[in-house]
Amino acid sequence: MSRAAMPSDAGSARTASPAEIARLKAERRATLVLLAPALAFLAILSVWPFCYLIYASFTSYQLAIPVPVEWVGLGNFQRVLSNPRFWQSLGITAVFALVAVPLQIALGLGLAMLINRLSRGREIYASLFLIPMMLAPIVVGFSWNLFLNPIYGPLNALLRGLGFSPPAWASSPEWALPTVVLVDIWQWTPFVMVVLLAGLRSIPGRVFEAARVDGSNGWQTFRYILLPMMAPYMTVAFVLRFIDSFKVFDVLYILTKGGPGTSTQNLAYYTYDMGFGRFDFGLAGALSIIQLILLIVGTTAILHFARRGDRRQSMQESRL
Amino acid sequence: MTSRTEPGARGALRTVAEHALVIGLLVLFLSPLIWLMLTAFKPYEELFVSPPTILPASATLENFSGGWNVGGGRGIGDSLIVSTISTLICLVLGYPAAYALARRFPPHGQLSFTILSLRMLPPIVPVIGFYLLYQELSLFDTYTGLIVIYTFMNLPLVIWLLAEFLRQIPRSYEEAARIDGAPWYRLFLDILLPLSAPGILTAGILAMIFAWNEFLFALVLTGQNVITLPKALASFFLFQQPNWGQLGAIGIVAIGPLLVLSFYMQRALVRSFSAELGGR
Repeated sequence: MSRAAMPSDAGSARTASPAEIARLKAERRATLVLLAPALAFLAILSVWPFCYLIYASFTSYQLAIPVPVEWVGLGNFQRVLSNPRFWQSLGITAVFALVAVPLQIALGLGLAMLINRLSRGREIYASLFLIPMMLAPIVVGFSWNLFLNPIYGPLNALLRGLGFSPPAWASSPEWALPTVVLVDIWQWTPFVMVVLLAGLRSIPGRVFEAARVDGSNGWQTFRYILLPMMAPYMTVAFVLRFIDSFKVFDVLYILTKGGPGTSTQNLAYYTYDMGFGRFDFGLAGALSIIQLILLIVGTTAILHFARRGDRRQSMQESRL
Repeated sequence: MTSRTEPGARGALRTVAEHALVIGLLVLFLSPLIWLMLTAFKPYEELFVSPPTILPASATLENFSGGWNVGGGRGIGDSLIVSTISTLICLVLGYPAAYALARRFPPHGQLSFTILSLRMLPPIVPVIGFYLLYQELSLFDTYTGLIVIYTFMNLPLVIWLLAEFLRQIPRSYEEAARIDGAPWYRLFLDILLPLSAPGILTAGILAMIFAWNEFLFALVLTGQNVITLPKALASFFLFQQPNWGQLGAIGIVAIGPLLVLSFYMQRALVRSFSAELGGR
């Protein structure tokens, strides 16, 4: 995200006159005045509730029980880590991050390449494919609920008409998780497509011409030219989607309510259920903090590997 | 890789085939949504037949008025209030900050990244803290409370986007104005504001969409006083026998304005990702 710093106003080699120093000071003051309101707003609202969150996570803060709040130290974290439901919800979160997101990248790349081939109407098609991402997740949830409805829904009617005996999708224990993953892929593949479309547009056509002249076939062109050139775009799409995959909540709320049982309960839903279903803010607070840590570690790891991949590739190139 | 260099009828045929493929995929892809729209025009009795009819046998508009009356209208009103005001505050707070980051804060990269990373937080992480704080400050279930948190949620993105746009305006414009001795508000009104209008529009639309669609904060931080559209839809859906026709009708009203914006949005997204990663 960061770019090389611009040369600063003060960076010129000649010595500054007192008047100039005064002007620079005034500019610095103006900068602070301009930044202050937004930064103060963001700082207050990230620090203040965060203190409450940390406080809650170290106490037995339960709204439903009128007992004095007690300091329990790391007790809530212990309760979380020894609970099989936590590990199950961690696994379900991982399915979204490590199954749904890679599939979105692959499908998004295919879609972007398909649309990029067209000489006309690219933008119109891209905008139409983008629709699911713009919808309120709640609307996404109930359109799919309607679409997959075992009795009144069109999909199962079609499948029955073709002689299959279709599953009950979101309400069946085996199909619920694949169903919500499918809906997530449906909603977010378009976002990946748009990011990768930006990447494809940045590759000049003569690169492919040159590859063809050199006699490389379609697969070789894809593997050794297109993929490496698209790598930064794919990394950005992956990181953004990885972070977002922790947010999956609305669709679960409408489509499965975390069920059947706890089969589609990811970390976000589990935290919601602990906090606002049972008002166990201690446990929910600990869960929130664990998610924050996972997110930071995961994102750092992805970026680290992406950078290492970059380096390895440039080394290979320099050897050639 | 491309078919553009192929001459004559074969090339044309291939183009047609490609368009047919994309359109086919698109219809398949959007079918849940198309189904929702068709359902919105079906009368009540037709919603519960199996197998379902594809096109409404007798199309009706009564779902729209029905959906409006059962809470859709209220939801749209509350969502408009909350998302419009929070978007305006985002722009008013965000513009000066973006300007400072784009112009006067050379090592801006780290700071804007830190600001942006606030946007990345899953809402479930801060929501517990906000809930406890809001109870304390009596902000629970108020318009102010929801406006504050939507501003918090969108401000980082608005600052980042506006800074990107402002950076593309040549500095020389402002320097010329400053040498002419123009006061800062003239500089702002005559030069910066008109030149950054597309950026303001993009950032504003995005902030508006996010606030309009947001569900978790609305679910947790409000009760009976403030009922935004996603919350109205969810409760409507979960606590009674769903009238799919009315749900579809409210859904269409809720997403209609966004569909109009999707063309504009994909352009803005492609442009900003090309600029960010393409090295310009």
